[in-house]
Amino acid sequence: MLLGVSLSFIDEEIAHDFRSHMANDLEIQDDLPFQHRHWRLQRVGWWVIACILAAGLLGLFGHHPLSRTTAQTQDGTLLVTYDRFGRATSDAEVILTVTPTEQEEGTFRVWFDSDYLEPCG
Amino acid sequence: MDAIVRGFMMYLFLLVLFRIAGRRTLGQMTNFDFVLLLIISEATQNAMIGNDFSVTNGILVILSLVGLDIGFSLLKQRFPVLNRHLDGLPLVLVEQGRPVQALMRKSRVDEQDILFSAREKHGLERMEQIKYAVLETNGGISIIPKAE
Repeated sequence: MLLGVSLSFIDEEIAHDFRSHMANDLEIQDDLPFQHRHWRLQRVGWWVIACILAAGLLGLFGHHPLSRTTAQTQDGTLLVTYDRFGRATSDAEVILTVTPTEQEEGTFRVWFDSDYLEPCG
Repeated sequence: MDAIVRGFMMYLFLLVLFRIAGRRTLGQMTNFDFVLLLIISEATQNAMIGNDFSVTNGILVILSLVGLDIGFSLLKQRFPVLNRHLDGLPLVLVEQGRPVQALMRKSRVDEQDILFSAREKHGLERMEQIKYAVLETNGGISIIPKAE
């Protein structure tokens, strides 16, 4: 019986298994080295998934208490609470806290820069 | 973060729920079972996606479900005892052509279900032709016919 020897991997799990095919009299298109490479790639993929989920849980994708941050004007009359990271085609919550300097009744106006509003649509 | 947390919660909830509901709930699909499955998936989606229709949210929800699934499969590999808790165990319901009534009652399987499976899988005609009938962990009934 002729066994194919593959030297393209160093994985200790298959150190004892250098065959490139399993059953020799079976009409089947198997390829063990390819399968082992694929399994290695799969495990890399699993770590990528774990990293993405960890990043999401730590706030890198927004909608997270840790990704909220604030900006305040010099005199403290306007406090803006916003999300550091946004998502396209999704809502972004911006909280404006206005502390007027005079305790009078009336209306206050907030001005938005058109550069800020334009990309938001 | 909410996408991931919601994904995890719905996965775990459905996992526990279908262990409690019993494996026959989705095992043999009648038309009604199929519709029920669709409605459940609709309700699940609403709970997980919410009103955030961004690609980011979709990807995070799906990754959290698939990631947890992979995690559980690896956990089951390392701790085989988890298999019986998460997936259940098979159950022999018919021995040598004689149904075990007590077990069938408890698992809510009746003789017609077993005969249906016997016809479907082996073209068997009568209960006496069944050597063993097993309720498998996926809710299906496997039939071992008597040797002729």
